[in-house]
Amino acid sequence: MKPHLQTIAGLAEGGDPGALEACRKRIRQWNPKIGALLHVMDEPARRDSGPLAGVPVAIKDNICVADHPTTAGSRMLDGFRPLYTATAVRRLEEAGAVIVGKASLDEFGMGSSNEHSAFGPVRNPYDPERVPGGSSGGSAAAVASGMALGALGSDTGGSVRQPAAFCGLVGLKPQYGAVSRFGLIAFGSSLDQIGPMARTGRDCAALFRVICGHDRRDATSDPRPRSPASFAAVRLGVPEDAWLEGVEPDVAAALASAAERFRQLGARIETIALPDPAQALAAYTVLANAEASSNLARYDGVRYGYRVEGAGDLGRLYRATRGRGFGPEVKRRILLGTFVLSAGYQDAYYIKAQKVRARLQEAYGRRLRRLDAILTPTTPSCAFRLGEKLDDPVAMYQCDRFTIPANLTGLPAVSFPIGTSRAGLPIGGQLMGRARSELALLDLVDRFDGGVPFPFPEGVA
Amino acid sequence: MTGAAAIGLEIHVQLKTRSKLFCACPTRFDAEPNAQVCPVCLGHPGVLPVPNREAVRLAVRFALAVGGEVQARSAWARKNYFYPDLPKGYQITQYEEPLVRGGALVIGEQTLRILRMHVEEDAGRSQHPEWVGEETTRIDLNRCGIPLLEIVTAPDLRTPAEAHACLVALRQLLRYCEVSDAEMEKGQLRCDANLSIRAPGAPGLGTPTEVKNLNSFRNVERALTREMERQIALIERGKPIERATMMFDQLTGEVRPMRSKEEEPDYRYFPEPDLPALRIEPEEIERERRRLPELPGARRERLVRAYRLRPADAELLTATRQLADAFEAVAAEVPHIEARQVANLFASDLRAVPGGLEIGSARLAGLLSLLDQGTLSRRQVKPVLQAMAGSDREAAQIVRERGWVQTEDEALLRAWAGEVLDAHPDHVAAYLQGKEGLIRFFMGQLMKRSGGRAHPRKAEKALRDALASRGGAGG
Amino acid sequence: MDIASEQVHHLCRLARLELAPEERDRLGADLTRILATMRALGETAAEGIDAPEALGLRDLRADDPAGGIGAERALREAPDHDGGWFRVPRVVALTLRDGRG
Repeated sequence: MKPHLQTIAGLAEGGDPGALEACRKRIRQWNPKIGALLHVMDEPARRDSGPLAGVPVAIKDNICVADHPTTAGSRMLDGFRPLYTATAVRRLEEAGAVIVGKASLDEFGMGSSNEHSAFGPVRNPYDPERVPGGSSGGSAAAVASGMALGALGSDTGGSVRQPAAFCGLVGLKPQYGAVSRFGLIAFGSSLDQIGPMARTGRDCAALFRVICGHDRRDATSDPRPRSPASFAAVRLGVPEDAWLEGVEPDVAAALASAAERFRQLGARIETIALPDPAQALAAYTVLANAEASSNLARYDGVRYGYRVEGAGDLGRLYRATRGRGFGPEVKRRILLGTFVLSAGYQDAYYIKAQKVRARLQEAYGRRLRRLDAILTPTTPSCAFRLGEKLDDPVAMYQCDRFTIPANLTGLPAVSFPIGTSRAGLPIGGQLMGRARSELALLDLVDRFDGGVPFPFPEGVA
Repeated sequence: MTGAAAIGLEIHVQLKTRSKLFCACPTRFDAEPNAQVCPVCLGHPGVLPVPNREAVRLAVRFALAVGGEVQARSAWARKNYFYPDLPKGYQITQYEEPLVRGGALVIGEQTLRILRMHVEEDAGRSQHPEWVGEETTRIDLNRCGIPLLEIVTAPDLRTPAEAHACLVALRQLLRYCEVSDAEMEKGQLRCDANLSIRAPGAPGLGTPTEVKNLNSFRNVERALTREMERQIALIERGKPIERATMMFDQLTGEVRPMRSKEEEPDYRYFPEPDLPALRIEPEEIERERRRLPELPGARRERLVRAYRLRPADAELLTATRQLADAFEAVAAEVPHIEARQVANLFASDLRAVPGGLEIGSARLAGLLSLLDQGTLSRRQVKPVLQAMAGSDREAAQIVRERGWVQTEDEALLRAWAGEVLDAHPDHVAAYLQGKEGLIRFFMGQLMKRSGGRAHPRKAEKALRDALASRGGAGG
Repeated sequence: MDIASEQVHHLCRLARLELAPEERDRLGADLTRILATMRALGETAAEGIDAPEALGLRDLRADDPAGGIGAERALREAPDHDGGWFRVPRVVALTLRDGRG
């Protein structure tokens, strides 16, 4: 395949109208195999000029696109078409991007493997017996298999970064408030962010620049400007070995060589102590699911979406609609979230988790005054097999323990390819930076990858 | 048994904004069902709330009117429960950090403490099936998202009548400040009450019950009266009062339990993650303070002082700001006329004439001048007002057109006086012997003869002159 | 903390979720295991949470009404409506929510 059709940057230079057709061809070829897109869109671009003119992008299906199916991966919204388009998508459209489809996801963003979609699992293009990660698994698989040059995902506990790591992509979770959440179907409101996914740091930055910025429709949206790109002399922190307990050997080795590469690029590397991931995970589990239990209360069969047939009274309608409309993972989280907010338990769980969160914010904030960024693996392992963790929710939640701190603290973090496992699977490393440093982080990734993407899986190029 | 009641009120008023609290939908009353909605107030997936500045300002203004403390920082919270006209499955309200703490409402001699006030969004309207066999409940979400001010009072009210008076005073103050139109029939003011009985000799307050579904001031009083009776009856029988939520049935006048203890909702309040806290700067509070009108109590006192009115008249005239403004506008136009005359006009005739209060102050001043000069008699005021209300003509014009000008012709009056006295020689004799009160009889007779148009003062003078000349004294 | 079956039942009631009995048992077991990991929250000192940034009145929305989308659009996605109102099966008996009728 022509090199300049492989990246957004290449396309911007080459300006080839064939890019869209190439993506559509790969959709036809690959989507039946890996199920990345739930809904393929055939429409032309809204505008034919702009910084993303002609760039094919996939949009995670929990982000609203007016009058097109937006299912959130759930039976609850099967057939639902939003009445409006999310701000981030509108900005992409106004910049000339073409939406090629809505990408599959774990239902309502809840999962780390894209096995929890009501419409079937997504498969990792690098090994179809393995998961692409989640919850933005469809977005990652779409870009990794060349169906699009970029995608929007959403990240609440790692849902952009972890699939990016499993699929050899660059995936950014922006600072909380950087990108408008208007039109993102809410999971954990104080944690959610829409994040761009692409094949290089440069491409990811191109998407981020278009979608970020204040939106008056989102009261949590941050009007402050982003820090300029590029650090002068970079100071990176890496965790102590003890912190990396449970990390697969290939991943640990890739991290070490990534640190070495940064050193060669002129960075100063320092080993630091980091807060206990188990504590952060516990706080996240409480807070995200508490907010989710409230955010998902609107799915009741009254004004839109799925409604069970033949319910004789309203109470029955609610219970049966929600009992059948939601999948097991969603129900698990709603019950957990309800529990930690319920009378008699709120202090021991929810309030305590808030305090842990505040302490974590302070702990990371302190470290990031001295350091420019913290470098860790994105995930403890590479892509695991389909079905491997389905019966063990606790094990599944553990996947997110390195990504969660960025959501809890609100700080920006990016996952980027740092190597390949012996089995040939992509390995992701994560850079977490201080407030509003997305462009600087992506610039670091750009220096690391030199604008060269992780190779496509066999059969894509 | 005479136990003292302790009654507190929880009142919700719709704030008078043009758009809703968290979205830009209009707030007009009586629109077609679901015409004034958008994805935000419909609770669609992915929407977010953005607070309305004016709603907060109105709340601040009212806080100042009741002497409450506006909190520099307050925060939003979610109150979670399921109901078909609550689209998100939670209401955005303020829980642990309300906008206002403290304050008081003065009702006559009484002071009712306000514990707190906060802003929250209204829910939509459910129309339940009315007929047996009708199977569906219908939902209209126009009202959903309209800003409400929730006012919580201390249980300082002692009788149902005081609760009624409290609501009247509250509504007056809300309207004065233009914070809410507070019409209960339009759902702009709603009231729940709590009531406990302090048994004689018992320390502290008794167990309170909550009474809901009160949709008029009268029903508030009826429901509380009934609940008081119910509790007193229980106490007299030695039974304990159980905490309960009671519902008032306006058809039967009965109060009955709405739900059992197990059914008490668990709202799982937590801070609203989609909204940062609210910060109010001192200048913004001052800005609202400058917008406060002269409040009813102060205006009443000033009217009594400045215009030498009776307190009862001042009370009447200050019922609404519009009325008080109209009174003062007219009084300013006729400074030579005693303000009490102006007050009388407002207190009696104007209120009785439909459209009377819309007659401009200049025209009313004209009417009062005619009255003052004696060109118009008191009896003629109402018909003249009625004619004025339907048109834009001056009082003098109307009086001329209808031939209602009072007869001041002295010769004519003397002639009538003579006729009256000639017709009643015995009364004349009695008068001359000291029964001075008979002048009123003669006046009545003269008025009859003149068809009600005799100028009263001049007629009286004519009569007294005629009587004097018949008396032979001084002649 | 062990989540007993009655607790799951109570949570299902609060969350309006109907579960088959096997689902309920399995979820109860899951919740128990997940809550066991909450030990990691540890004991925290009773310090307050840093007040996050607040919005001033100037940052809020001006009171300018902007139409509504109209009933037809509002009802477009509704499972049941009569052209003007949303419709649901009747609310049983006197269950007024919390008095706001």
